[in-house]
Amino acid sequence: MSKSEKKIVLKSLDNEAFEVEKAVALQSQTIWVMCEDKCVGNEIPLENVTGQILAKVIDYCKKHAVVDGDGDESSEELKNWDTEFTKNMDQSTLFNMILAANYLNIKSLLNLTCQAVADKTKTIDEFHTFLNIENNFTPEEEAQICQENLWAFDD
Amino acid sequence: MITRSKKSKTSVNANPQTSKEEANFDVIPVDLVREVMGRLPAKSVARFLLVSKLWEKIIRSRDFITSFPFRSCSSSQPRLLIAFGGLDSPEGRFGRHDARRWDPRMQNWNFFSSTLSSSNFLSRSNVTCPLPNPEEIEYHSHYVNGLLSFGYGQQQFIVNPTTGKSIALPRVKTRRRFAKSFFGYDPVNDEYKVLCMTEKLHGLPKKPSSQHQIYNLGGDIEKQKQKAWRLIECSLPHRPCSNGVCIDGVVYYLSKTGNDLSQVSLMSFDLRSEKFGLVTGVPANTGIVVYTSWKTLFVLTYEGKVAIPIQASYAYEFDVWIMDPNDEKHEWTLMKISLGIETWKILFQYNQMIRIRGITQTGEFILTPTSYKSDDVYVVYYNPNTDTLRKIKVE
Repeated sequence: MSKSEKKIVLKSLDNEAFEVEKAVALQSQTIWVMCEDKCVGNEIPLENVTGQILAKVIDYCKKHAVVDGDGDESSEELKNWDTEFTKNMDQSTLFNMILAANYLNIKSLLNLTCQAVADKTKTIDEFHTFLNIENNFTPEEEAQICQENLWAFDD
Repeated sequence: MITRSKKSKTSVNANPQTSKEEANFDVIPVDLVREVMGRLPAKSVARFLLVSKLWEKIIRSRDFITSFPFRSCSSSQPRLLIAFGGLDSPEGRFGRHDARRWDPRMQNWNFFSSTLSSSNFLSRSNVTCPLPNPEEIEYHSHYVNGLLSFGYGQQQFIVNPTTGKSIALPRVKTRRRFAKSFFGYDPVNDEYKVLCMTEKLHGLPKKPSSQHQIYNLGGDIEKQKQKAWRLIECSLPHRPCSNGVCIDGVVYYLSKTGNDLSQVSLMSFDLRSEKFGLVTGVPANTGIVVYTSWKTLFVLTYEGKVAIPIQASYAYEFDVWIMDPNDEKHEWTLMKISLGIETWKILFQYNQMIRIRGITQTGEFILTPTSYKSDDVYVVYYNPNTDTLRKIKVE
């Protein structure tokens, strides 16, 4: 196998190209299927992911590919790395990471990012802004739900 | 150009509920919202009912409830739940000066569930139910497949600790004050049933229970419409003397049986056929007799079998009698647990009496003191395979 076959080029929606090891990229089920079906050449256009986000996704995949490969790092270290990885992401980045993980179908990354959102988001307002959801309850309906679930609102 | 058209297309399809679209992000698809929600702590989930109507609909859906929490991929994760009443009573947590807060008609129940992210503490939720003081008479609560049932006399409640919602069932058909209830889940018909029977509180204590009745929850719509207690036949005279456990659609509990109710036996109640059965007698060498206080008799599930923990010679020693009800031989095997006196003194303040309150799905025994005298609420897990103990703080 020549060296070029082991590499693959991922192209973001803003036309940024990333050359990565195949083993790294294949953690994405979406890319795996594309390669398996030979429906793409060596360059894979990813129309739902920006370069900024794709770079982060690749960071994640590289980290996890290395560990799976030679087992140098303990799972504990990997866990710490994961925590650091999402720790300083702002909400819009996290949001886009979830979308990217979902689109690229990388289960562990989807787990990680969804958990990060769940951990970071404490108030209802944060959820409204973060997930861009409109509160469509009337004040009466709100009061009723609070009443029915007092235990959840009491601290 | 291509980019822009794609973007707007995604958001229109993904969530028609949201009319405004912010410039910097798309609208998150519903299945991803669900992914995030499933990872929230239970209390937050109940709070986030208020996020929007769509969220409320998702959280209240049966599908979500049964899969919650889906932080873990395996369904074998322990989802322990134990309930305590009376922690907020004047003698309990707050001391006498706080007696004003204490309304004897409104009993605060605390539910402790293990969080999956941390094995070192239990998270706690409260539900207030109008029940008399449990110090008077100890209740048995039954936790089955995500729902908890408890009650006293004619009043029976079902609580969903995940959503914090509790419902009062219609009054039990009886004029008696005392009723014992059991709770079970039939996985075949996807149906919960509360079994209730009453006893004469005064007069001869040797009378078997009567007025056996059933209340259905869930299941097919025809049955739900009835919304009432249904009297059923019971041809086996017996008087329950423990809580019940539900294993594969059958509820098991200890009961006084025989002509003069002088035997202690393990009874079964098949939720589907609604038939009572006498599984087997409890052997004499267990030390269980008809006079054993029902406050100390617990039936638990250990590896799919029925387990009865009995205090042995000392406060820190237990005999656990285990029997597989599906095995024709009905043999009881004995597992001895001893914490050792020093460990017991260190782990349980005030050298308290302890009880085995439950067994996790991973086979760890859950030990608690009989009451908490301070704010320091905890349980202790005992692993019989490794003979190790760990103290678990509550919040």
